[in-house]
Amino acid sequence: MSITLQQLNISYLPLSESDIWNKHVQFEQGGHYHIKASSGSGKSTLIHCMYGIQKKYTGDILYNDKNLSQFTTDELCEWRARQISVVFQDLKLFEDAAAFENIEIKRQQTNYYPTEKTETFANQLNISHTLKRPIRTLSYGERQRVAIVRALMQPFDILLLDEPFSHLDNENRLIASSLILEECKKRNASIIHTDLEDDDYFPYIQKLQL
Amino acid sequence: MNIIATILKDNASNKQWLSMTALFIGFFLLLLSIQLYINVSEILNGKQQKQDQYDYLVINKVITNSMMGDNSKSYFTEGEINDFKSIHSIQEFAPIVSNQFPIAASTTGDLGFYTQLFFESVPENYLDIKPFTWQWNEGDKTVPIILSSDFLNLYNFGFALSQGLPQLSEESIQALSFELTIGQTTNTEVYRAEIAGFSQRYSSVLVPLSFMKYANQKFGDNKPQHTSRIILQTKEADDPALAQYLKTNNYSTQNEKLKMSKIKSVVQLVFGSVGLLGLFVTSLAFFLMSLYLELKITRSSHKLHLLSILGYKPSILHHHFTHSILKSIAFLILCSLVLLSFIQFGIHFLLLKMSIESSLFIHWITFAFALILFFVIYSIFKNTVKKLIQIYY
Repeated sequence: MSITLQQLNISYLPLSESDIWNKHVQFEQGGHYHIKASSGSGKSTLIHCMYGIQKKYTGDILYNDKNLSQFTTDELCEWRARQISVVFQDLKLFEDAAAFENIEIKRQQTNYYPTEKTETFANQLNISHTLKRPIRTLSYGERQRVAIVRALMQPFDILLLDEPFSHLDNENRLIASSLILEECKKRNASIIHTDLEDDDYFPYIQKLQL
Repeated sequence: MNIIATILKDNASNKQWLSMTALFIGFFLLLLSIQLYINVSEILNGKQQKQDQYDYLVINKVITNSMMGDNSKSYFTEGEINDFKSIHSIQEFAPIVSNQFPIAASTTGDLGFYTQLFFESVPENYLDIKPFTWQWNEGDKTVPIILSSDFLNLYNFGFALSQGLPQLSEESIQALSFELTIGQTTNTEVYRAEIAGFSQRYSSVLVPLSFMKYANQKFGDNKPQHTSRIILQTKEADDPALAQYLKTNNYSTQNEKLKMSKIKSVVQLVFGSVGLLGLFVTSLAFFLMSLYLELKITRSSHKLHLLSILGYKPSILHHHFTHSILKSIAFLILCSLVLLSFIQFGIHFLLLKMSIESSLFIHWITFAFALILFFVIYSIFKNTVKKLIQIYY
């Protein structure tokens, strides 16, 4: 598996020196990548493009040599269910549903893990007490950890992380990042992590500037 | 746990019962109008008593004062005859052939008589009786005749009683034979005539068509054959469209058979109105339910968008919405059929008190219509949901 960006560009983004926009970039199977970017430079836009939500761009995004723009609706859904996972910056959780239900909606999609795994991960990330509560009653840090558990409930080759630890303290950042790393190793999956600052949560093979 | 249902659970005020009640009333009225129409049609047609599959109507033009003195005005034109093909309820028709030569019948002895006579012929399959002697081939000296049973009744209950003459049974008449003198002046032939049977369908004197053709050719005046009476074979003598057609063209026939058409017209009008009302209510309810569905999907807009992002296929989301609709429509139609069954029981026992036979159960056509209604409404909803869900992909 690999994901390749070929001359990717978004018309409305400001022109600046970048390792990604208008370049040829390839993310290899099992590799961990860090993309550093300042606010407004298009981090979330890049994640949305790579996840197939943002479709208004020039250039190409290839997944195993197949152009993402040529995926049918069903292929795209299948791809999101089994090949690629994501933690969005805005999390994209169901606000009225309980934390458990937010995780379960992903878990039941493929049944990659049994339902008990939710409790295990929640315990590891110190959010087991929040599982029955609606998302809207949780702090942003708790929500981020729910979104991380949700992202790990499916099979994937690539994990996209868009500022996933922004509202976590250092201790929780370390716990969350080690859980993510462990799960990615099990799957031999790549990590593409975008953030405002440099970090060493994962053993990166390449650090890029957006 | 059905996680999709849990996530898409709608806690907002639910007005679905309103459209569901309206849809139930609409379904019920539609099915009721069909079932009642079938009930009345069965009673009017009297299926159980009907021996023949078809009814036969002898029709002719009404003779008016302006037609008197010009026999040709009572003839059917080629166009008028062909026009019968356009009437749906007419299966077949045939002209009634008249003789074009003089006929005299006579006998000797105690019952001696002499009379001028006329003959008519129809194809054999238009006869209501089939005597085994009913055939004539060239060279045969005996001609079988079918008389109208009306003639015998007129004699027995009119003429014989008033004149003190003996009444005659059908068998005694059939035992008699008389002489037929056919043709004029030098070109005549004499035949023996035998009464082969009595017809209730034709007020006429019938001979086999083979004899009529032979005699018309040999003794006729060589003028073209005209048709002034036609026999119609129909499955529905009480078809209001047929009655209207005959009335419009000023054709006359046995009124008895057509009187049911008037009742049928009224019944059609009444149940047609109930059916229309049912259709109107169903359409209105359908519109209401579509709006409700659209509102429900729109209210779930954000959730549907998130589900599509998480990789849920459109078919899974269609299924969530259409499955509940499927259950609702099936339940409503089933309720309508159950209620209708009770009403049908009631009608059956009510009519039984009036000595009228009717079915105890709902007719299969009503069931079939309910099934069609179910599939049509379900398919339309399914398509609506499909279009609304597609927006999120």
